[in-house]
Amino acid sequence: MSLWVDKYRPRELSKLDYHKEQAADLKRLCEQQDFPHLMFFGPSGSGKKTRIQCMLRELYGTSAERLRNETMTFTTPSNKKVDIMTVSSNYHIELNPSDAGIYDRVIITDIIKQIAQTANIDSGSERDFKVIVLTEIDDLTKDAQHALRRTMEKYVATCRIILCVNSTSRVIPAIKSRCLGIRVSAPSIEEIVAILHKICRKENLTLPNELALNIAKTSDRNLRRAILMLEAAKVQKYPFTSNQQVPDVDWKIFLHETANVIMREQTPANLEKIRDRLYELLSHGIPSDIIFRELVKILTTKCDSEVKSQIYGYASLYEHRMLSGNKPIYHLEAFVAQFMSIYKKYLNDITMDFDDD
Amino acid sequence: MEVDKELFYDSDESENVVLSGSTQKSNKNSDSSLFSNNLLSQISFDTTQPQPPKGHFTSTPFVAKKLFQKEYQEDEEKIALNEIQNLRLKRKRRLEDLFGDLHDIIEEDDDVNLKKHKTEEDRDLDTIQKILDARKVFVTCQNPMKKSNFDRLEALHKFKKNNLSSTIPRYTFESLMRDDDTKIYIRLQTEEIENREINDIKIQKGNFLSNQNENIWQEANQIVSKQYNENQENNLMQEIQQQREGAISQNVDLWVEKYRPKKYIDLLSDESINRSMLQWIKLWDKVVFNREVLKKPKNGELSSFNKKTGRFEQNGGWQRRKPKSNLNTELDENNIPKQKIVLLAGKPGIGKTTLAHVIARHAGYEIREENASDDRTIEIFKQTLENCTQMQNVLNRDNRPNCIIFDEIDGAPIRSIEYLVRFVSGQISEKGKKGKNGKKILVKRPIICICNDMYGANLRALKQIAFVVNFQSIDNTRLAERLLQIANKERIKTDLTTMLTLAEKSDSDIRSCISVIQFYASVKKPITLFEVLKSTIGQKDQHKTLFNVWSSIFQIQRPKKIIKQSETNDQREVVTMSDMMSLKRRMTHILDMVSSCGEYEKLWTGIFENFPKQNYSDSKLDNLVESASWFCFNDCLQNKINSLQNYIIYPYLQFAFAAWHFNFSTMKFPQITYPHKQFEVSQKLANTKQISVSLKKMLSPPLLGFRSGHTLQLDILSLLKIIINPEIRPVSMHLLSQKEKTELQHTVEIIADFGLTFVQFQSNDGTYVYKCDPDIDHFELSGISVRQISYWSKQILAQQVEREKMRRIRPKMGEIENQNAEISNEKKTSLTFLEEASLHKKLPNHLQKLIPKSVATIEKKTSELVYKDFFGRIVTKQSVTSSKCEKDNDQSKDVFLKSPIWLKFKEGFNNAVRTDVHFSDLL
Repeated sequence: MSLWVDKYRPRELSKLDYHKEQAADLKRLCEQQDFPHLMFFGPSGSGKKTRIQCMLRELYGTSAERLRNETMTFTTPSNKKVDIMTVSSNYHIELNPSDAGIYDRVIITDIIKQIAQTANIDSGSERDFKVIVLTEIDDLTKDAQHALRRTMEKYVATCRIILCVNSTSRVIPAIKSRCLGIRVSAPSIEEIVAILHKICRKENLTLPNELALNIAKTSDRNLRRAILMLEAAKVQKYPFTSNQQVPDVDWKIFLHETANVIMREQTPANLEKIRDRLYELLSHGIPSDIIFRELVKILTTKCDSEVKSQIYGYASLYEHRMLSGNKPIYHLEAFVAQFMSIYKKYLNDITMDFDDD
Repeated sequence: MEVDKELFYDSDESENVVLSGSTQKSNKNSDSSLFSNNLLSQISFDTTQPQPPKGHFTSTPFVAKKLFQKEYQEDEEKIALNEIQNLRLKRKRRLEDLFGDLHDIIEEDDDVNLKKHKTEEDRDLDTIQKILDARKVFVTCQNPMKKSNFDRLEALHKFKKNNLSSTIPRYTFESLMRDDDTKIYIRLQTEEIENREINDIKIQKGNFLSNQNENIWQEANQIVSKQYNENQENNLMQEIQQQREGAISQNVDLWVEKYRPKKYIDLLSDESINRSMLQWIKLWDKVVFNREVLKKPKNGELSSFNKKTGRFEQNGGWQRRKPKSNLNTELDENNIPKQKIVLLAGKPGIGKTTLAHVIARHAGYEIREENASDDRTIEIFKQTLENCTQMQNVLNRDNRPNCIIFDEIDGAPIRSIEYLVRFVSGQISEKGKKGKNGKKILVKRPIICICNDMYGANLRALKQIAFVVNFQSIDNTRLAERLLQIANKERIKTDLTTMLTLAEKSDSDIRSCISVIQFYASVKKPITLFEVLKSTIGQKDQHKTLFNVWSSIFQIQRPKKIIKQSETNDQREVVTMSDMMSLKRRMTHILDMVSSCGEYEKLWTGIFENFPKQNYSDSKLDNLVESASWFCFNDCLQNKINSLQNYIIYPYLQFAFAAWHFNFSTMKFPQITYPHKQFEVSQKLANTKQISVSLKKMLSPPLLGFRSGHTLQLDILSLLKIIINPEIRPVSMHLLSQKEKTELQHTVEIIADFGLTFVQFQSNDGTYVYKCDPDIDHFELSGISVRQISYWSKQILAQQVEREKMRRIRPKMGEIENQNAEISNEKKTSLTFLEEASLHKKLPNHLQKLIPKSVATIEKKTSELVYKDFFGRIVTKQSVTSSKCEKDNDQSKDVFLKSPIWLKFKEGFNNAVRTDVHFSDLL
């Protein structure tokens, strides 16, 4: 609990730093005897998990915080043993079905069903239902999502399911309609700055406002990243200076460099270098859609507005294809090639105009 | 027979008969054949014989002559005509003699008539009639059996027309060659007809046949019968001989066998391969024949030898790219070559088996062949190996040592091959003498293995111990020359270019080439270029390798000979150079190639990794964009196929290859490497995943919930690397300031939270480094430098982390201790005061066990009862010790920790069976 991001994580709904109204709503929801299935959605690092944890505490008291790790083993139809890690308290269990990869459906049909079927016989608890927290539902296969929707309905008497997703676009409508959606938007820059100041106060550090603002900006409104950055900055250099370099996550730095390489030269040989870099990122487990999105973002900031719309159009096309494909490298590279082509033509046109003048 | 008849037909003229008879005799002497050409010409003379000289031909109708002339014209034989005319001159007189008196008669009669009835025309006519009648009577009286000249001619002509022909007749015939090289067809009559005819003649001639004629007839008969018998005999002999020859020739009927090289010099395969094989087999000379290996080359000499062959190759114009000879020429202590097995690998039909046989025979071995047609279980292998290597063929006269050839070994079961490997490497001891006493079997005979696919899984072990000879495909020109030789020997018309094309078409497969030639020989056709290109014979169903397809995609094919339907009306197909540059042809070629390979996914992976290396011109990057979208297309399609198992759309995958070909192909020879990048990446990714899983496992439960999904990789790890690498002053711990200490403590706590440990290990250059476990350094992206902290800092961190971990374990223990302490306190109240007294005794640990006995002795019965009730559920001994330890709790907590009691409460996620269990209940 010593990383600041964990240390200063609010434990109660009433202590949340932003979306206070929503927190109050959640609290009221918990005070009622019952509530529907919930689906928390919002960008990464906006505090979905924190809110879920707070809610569980609100529901079951501090005993919901006495957690334990468990590894559950299940057998796939092809007789392969797959392990999945879960975190559970007496009243809830939390797992990430997409960890099982292509066997996620088996998790939904076997394990979750099994958990949902058994009622909590502990009369001591205030609630007569258990809570199953499922994370990263948007990464589930369609099959698994379809398997989930029946489970949600059938065992509503014994359990509530709280889903935690980044984007609802990949969740099938059947599940969306079964849940009460709770949007947790990313904290604003000001909110992040405020939180960073609060942490520094508690740590007896002095944080220049400029640095806090810088961190908040580079973190892409991702609070977790912002706090980690703050801590990393502190390790790198303390006392803080206002123009101190903010340590960014390495894959983003890497992507920035990649974008620079793309902008520098538009040749097939260069594309090979880019491919190696993309491979590097992919092999480090950075999800392809995040690479894609970030790359487009960086590239569009670097090029002229004339070609921006064109690039966005192609980016959406190639990203769509990537999702229906199997190997993201083809699609990433195809996009890069397309960008190079567009950019090169644009540059040629400029020089032509220049020559004409 | 017919000729005989002819003879008899004319035999009424004795002179003529004698003439023909003599010619027959002379013919017999010179030529055994009855139907000699001379005789035949004789026949035609006979036919012309009755023809009267022109001058005297007034009375006889010209028709007959014309008919004859016609026949001659048909024959168109000028020489024959001359001859005939000469003969005619000869017979002129005779004919004149024959008809002379006739003339006289007519003249006389006319004179008489004119004299007697000059005025009366009617009387004249009557007399003419009379005279004619009289002449007829006279003629018939003169030669009663002789028909008129004209009748004879007519009959002869009729006979000839029926029985002789210069063109192929309808009736059954025998063809005869005249000496002027023209053919005459003679009718074959049945013997019945012949006899009848002869009888007819006999009847007709009857008594008139003179004795002389009779003799001639008999003589002729004899001659004929004799000749006939002789002929029969000859025929029979010939037949027998043919049959005998046939029996022999059936063995060599297959040309592949017939023209199989018998001598080393005949081998078609690459000279360097032949040489290395020969060199290898000669290494066995010492152990097999007990004669010194001729060349005992040292390493230096070996290389020079290689150089020699290299130079030789260049001189000979063989392939430049010589497979480097990996022949180990050393002999071991038993004078057996180190490499006891040679493994010949190569495509079918390029002469591997032939080479093995020729080499073995050349070196003086008896060949024992074992191939796929034999049973190849491990027992058979064992038997063969033992028989061949240990024993010798006593029946054989030559008394040659054995050489085993395992043909088609890639089809053998893996266990058999393993046995072979063990056998050869001397791990198998003789039967019956197991263990240490068993003499190791030494392989004292060379073993040759032949396979097609060297990379088969079952040959892996064999390859390591064997001298592997990889057969390159043989030179097409050399093969074509050899084919031409064979064709010449078999008298088949062909030429070198055709043979070259054939060799090319069959992909240098000697066997299939020879088979094709034999096929053409059997249909008795000359082999032309056109035939070879057109025919479907000799075409192998070729499986293109990945590299073949890749290179054909990246390279524009050179023009090639193909058959083309010419545009003109004559519909003749001509061989032209194909226009490989035309887009249509290129596309179909690529599609053919790709579909013949089939492994689409591997193919396009290869293209994806190889295309940036090609020097295609693409200034606007349009080609690149187009190709890249084709990659996307194929990827999406493949994903669909895989996920839906819908193979209907599978054929669409191949069209992308054509697109890539048009975009990337050049005339240059492409440099292609096998694609491995994707595999490497996937391996790396798997590694990453494994590390992140192990990282998650180390996390404490409250944190795990916040580390799910990709947040670990995306946010935490990269920043964590900075956070856990603080710069620590390289001084002793106690010299650090309070602030530094708290910072260090903070870092250590984080590291401990993540369950990381620093492990010291020695790197390759001998320095000690600390490595993180799980290896979070793996997540480092290349090119992004993370500040590395000093070894000293890491050492301090490592120590501190270890200490922190110890500290963390302790509180957990402490919890248990506290619990136990509470319980023991409770117990204390329930325990008797006597026990309490014993508790306060300070005794060393090893003596404490004795105490219960003393307690038991001191205890009252009532207290004992209490004990029994209390320990009712648990084994007494354990309870005693435990109670002892509990008693000591107050004195030393460590003692409690070391006690044999361990409590482990296994919690399940399931609340269904959860009940409150108190510690006291367990005791």
